[in-house]
Amino acid sequence: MRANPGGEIAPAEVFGRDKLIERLWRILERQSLVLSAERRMGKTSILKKMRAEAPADKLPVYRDLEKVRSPLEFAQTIFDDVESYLSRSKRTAAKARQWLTNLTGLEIGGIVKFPDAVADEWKTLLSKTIEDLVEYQDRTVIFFWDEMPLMLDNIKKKNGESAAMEVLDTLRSLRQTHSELRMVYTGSIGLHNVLTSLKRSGYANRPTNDMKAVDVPPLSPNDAEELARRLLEGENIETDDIQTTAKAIANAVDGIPYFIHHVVDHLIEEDEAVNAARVDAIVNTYLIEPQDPWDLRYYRERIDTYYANDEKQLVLNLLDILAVTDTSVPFDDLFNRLESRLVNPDIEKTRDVLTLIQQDHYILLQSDGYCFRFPLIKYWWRMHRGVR
Amino acid sequence: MKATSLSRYTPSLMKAETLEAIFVQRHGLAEHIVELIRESALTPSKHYTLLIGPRGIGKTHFVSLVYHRICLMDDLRDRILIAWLREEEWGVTSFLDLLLRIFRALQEEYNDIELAKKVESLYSSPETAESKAVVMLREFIGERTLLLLVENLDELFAGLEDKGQKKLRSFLQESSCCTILATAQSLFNGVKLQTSPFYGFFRIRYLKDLNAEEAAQLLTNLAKLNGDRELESFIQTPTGRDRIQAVHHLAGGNHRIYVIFSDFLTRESLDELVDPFMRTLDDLTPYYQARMAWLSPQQRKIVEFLVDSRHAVTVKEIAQRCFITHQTTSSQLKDLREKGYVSSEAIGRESFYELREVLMRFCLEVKKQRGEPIRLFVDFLRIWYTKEELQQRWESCLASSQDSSTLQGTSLNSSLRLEDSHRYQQSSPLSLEQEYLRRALEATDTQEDPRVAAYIEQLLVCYEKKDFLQGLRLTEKLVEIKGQASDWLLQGAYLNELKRYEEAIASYDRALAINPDDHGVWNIRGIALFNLGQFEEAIASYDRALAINPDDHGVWNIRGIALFNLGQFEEAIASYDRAIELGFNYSGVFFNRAIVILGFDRWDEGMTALENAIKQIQNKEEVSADDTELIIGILFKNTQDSVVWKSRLTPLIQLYDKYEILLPLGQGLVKSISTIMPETVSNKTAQTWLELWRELTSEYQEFQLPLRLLNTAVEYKEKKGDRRVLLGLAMEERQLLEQVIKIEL
Repeated sequence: MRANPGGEIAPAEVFGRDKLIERLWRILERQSLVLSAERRMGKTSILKKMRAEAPADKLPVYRDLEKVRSPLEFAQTIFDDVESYLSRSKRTAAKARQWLTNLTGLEIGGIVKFPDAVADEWKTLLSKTIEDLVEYQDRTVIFFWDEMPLMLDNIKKKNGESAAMEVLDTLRSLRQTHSELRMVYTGSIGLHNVLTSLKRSGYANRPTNDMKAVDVPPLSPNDAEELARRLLEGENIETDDIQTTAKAIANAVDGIPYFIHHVVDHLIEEDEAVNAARVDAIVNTYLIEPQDPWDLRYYRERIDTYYANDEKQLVLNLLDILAVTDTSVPFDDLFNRLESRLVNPDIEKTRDVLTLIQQDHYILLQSDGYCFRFPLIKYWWRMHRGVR
Repeated sequence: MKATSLSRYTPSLMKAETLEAIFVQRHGLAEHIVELIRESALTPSKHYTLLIGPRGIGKTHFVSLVYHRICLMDDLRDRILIAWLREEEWGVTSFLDLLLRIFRALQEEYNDIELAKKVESLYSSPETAESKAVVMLREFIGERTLLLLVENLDELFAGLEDKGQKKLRSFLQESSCCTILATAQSLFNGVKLQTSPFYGFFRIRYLKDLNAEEAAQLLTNLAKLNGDRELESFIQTPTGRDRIQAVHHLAGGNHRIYVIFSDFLTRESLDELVDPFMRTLDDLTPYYQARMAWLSPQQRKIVEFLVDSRHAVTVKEIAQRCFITHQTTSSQLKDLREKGYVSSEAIGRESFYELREVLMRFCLEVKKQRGEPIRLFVDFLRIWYTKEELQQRWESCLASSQDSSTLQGTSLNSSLRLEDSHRYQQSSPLSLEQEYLRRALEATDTQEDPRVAAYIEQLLVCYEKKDFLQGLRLTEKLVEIKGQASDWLLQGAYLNELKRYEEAIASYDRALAINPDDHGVWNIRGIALFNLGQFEEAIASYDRALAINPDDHGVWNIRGIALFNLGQFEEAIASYDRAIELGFNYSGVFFNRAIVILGFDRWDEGMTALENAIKQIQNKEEVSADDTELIIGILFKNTQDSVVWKSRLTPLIQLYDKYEILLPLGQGLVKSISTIMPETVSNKTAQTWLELWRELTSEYQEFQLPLRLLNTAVEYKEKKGDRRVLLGLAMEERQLLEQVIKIEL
């Protein structure tokens, strides 16, 4: 196995995700899915592995939606995928085609491009397309929609919140109408961030309450270590002790697959045999390097992007508190400490914010309290905020 | 390759063999990347690599080399398609534009008529062109993998903007059919920020500057390629190495410049240098002007200020002189550094910035220097030749001009002379060549490089902290900047502290080459030679110092020590006497003198001298245990007669007691224990020695420990090294004794 940070990992080499994938297939037997995770956790690799190794009765259709900027474009994308699927059995999305002809008066043939004039009719086009699919599908089609939240964000910016809301509602409606239809949403920004911003504009629906939300965790310590070991071997990196070095890598980056690849890739250029101490030194360099090659300051900056003004100070202070504790902190204790920092914090608001920052993967709620989810991020936060 | 073609050095047009022949430093990286591309072609894995380095560092060379290596791989022929985009892809403002550039690159590579027709058809239906182009490209690629070679990715991304980048990423994610090798000048936001589509997408590799050794290798490779044996062997000579340092300094890491100046290396006379040099500046000026054009107006202002500054300056000064805030200046300088326009150095708490490529300054100054190209060439000479070389050339030039019938030598035949010769013929009796050399030798910066003061300040800090290694690094910088005798002397002093005596001597020699009449340097040079045990050479150095300053009593003293070590005792005494005559009242010289006399076994005279020495001491710390060790050792070795020992030891002990300095005498006894340990000394003799000391000193507190140690040593000797004997001592005493008699654990 070769280190490949950021690149396309061959499905057979996606490591440590078999159990999770089995679970996802089981869920898809009965409902659609929202996959959420921190960036670089390997969501896309998981989807592509599922696509490559799908059971015979399933047909996964993968799409990266980040380029889609309007509901019409989205409908176009689905239409293209359905047409592509149906063309194998010499069929077309006939209903959608017919409807388009009726609407525009144009004879539709060959590659169909939805004209801008029909932008307002995108819902109907989408519904007709799905009807065509459902009528003729001989396998369960599963739409793997990567970067769905980015698409919604694009639509929101270009066409307004209501357009984004309508997309979500329409998709929900389609799932209700066609119970055999399956969708998997995933993306590098959290869907909850998009939904929260829509809520602030008055959106009260819950468009994914029929979908199972699954969090993609980092690799287990054993799997992370094994991945690191295989990569060290694959790259012929000289180590003092390969197992110890692999363990150090896995620990240093909290089992996040991308960073495991990244660190091993860095080690390729070392002149001398590497060891645990060298691994720690390299990771530390990434954390303190002024150029911030991992853009870890994003964890601070996104608070300004995704949190309301009345939430920001709460978030910053809660994270500052948790950054300097070695153990989990129960809510009461946490709130006490917050009261020593802020004037009259609202307890309910604090609970809500804690939920949000959990969803954003900053923190975990364990049986004994709250703590940073990733020690790596905690360490960075502590260093760069200057908290002790 | 000749000078004119070298200055138009374009790797993408060079043959594979040429690229390979002049490739240095990056072999491992090239092999790795080729392997990754192979894996991308032969397996479902796909690798995306981004090479980062400033302009001129060799990115295009690298990409070209990888291209050729991939083309040569037969097993990839049916598995890979290559689209090598142009170095500057102007006019890409959308994803469709990028697709069209890819098709163009594929056409240039494969000349597929069908593809050409299909691409042409895109222009007739603009609304569907993009989606059709995507489909076409996928069809064309088929089961193969597309290798995209993209330079200046940062500029391409800027053209694509967010929308186009997302479409590109979507395409890559959905098709899983591409591998990318891209280059950029710096790590740009498009791949660095978590909010960017391509965050974490690429494996990043930074191309490093060549060091001087690698530069020499590059130049050697060039010489071999051109069949230039003269250049090849010249590079191995000391002058060749100096010249490579000059090229290294001029090039600032820019491969293109190394290639250009390789042609200059062996040119001997200034005549051979002037015109090619000025032509090279002319050729390179558009290149540097283009690089300036890529900068923002504010950054250009900063660069122009650095051009005028001629040496490194602080951020504060740049901000002041450019009327920009400190924060903005800092940020702009960071960007300029990443792009390779400037380099920085932190000295203490300050950061100093200067132009990365010296040649850039020359080229940008060319236009300003109308009517004064001489100044530029003089600057060039100061870089090209070491000071010693300039001096030699100057002297040789003077000598040859004195031999000739006319002082106005016409040896230099350059275009510059046509412009300026009338000025020189009227105002100066020197030839133009002599004038260049004279100016080069006399040229000093009107303004001192501010780093110098910072280095000196840091040097003091290093000395206090005894961080001699860091201090040495700073002296190397001073030598590089100024290269004055004092700088070489400092470097030698730090090397001396690090006990690197031979290198220290080399530094002192450089200082003396500049200023041969510095008696202090001759002195310190002698000390380094002394430390190496080269006593005769040390004395020769001291004699040179004394020839310049015969009244330096310190030198007479240490000269005496060197003579003592050579066994030239009468001469040593004479040297000490001279030091004393000159008023050297340091007790050490008196002790040295006394020890030599005692060594002659002139005991009474020696004791008188010893008392005289003791009288000179200012404080008791001046009495050295090393000296008492020597005295006791002399006493032991000069006779084996215990009666004589007693007769000599008794007044010795009384003398030290009289002046209350028994402690160093006791310490000297301890240090001298090693003299009784050899097998040539019998146990009986050692025992007698012990008993005598016990008899004469047991009542003194200062001798309790020495007697204990001496007793143990004698017993250890008698019991033939039985370690159990040592266990009778406390641990720290045992360790002390083990050290003195050099027992290995």
